[in-house]
Amino acid sequence: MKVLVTDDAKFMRMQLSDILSKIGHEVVGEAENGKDAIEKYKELMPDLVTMDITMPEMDGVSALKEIMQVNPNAKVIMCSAMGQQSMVIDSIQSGAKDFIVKPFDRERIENAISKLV
Amino acid sequence: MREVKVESKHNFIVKESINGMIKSVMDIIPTETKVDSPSLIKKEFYKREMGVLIGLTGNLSGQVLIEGDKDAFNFIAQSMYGMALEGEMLESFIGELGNMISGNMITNISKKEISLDISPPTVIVGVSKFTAFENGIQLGVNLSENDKITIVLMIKEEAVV
Repeated sequence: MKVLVTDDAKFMRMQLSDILSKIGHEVVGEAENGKDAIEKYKELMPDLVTMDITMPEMDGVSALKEIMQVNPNAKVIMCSAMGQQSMVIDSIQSGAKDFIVKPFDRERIENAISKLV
Repeated sequence: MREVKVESKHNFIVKESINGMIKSVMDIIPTETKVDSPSLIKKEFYKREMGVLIGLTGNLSGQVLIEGDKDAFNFIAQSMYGMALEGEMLESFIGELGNMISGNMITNISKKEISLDISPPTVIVGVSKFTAFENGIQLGVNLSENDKITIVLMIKEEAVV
């Protein structure tokens, strides 16, 4: 799967890219905020987007909503340090396919992606 | 009577935030950590080598500061990700650690009907002095015999209810 990784922390983008490559996916791009993610989504049209929530410029839930307007079949997995129920419900209702709470491990990422296929 | 209610709600939120913070630290850092009893900071506070500052909004208004030296943060990076970090990557990790600890704290207390949000982290490198905050509560987190980080909750007095 071609993946766009979105996170404002370079360390987290490195972690996610590393896990995704190890489980056989191709990271085609990295975005550091919601606005950047929308632009890169349109440009790269990836099969999957991982989306952080708390980011400068534009948060992940707003970016998710815009990406779903660009492509209602887009596959977006939220990847956030905040896992309160309201945030999870808002994300899923806005079209996210899964919600991963940080810190995560390789198995959790594998599990979320396997449910998409 | 109304003022008393507001005060007690504020105290409840502060207490739950501290408990939520302790649980968050214990859940996130995989090694055996020992958290000191919370203590009040009445005067200025000096941050050591590195730190991260995160804004809190919602039912509580203030900031979370997590500070320590390079070795302490690398001890955590090693225990969570099996690697020691340097330079920009270490700074980015510290920002994300602050995000994870504060984010999980918020998730923990959301179960008690307390609604908080966090701002993206600001990483601070170098010794700095923190002053002019109304209430500071400090939590020492002992990672090993020699490694320790400190979490400071800087809270504004007024309650948002």
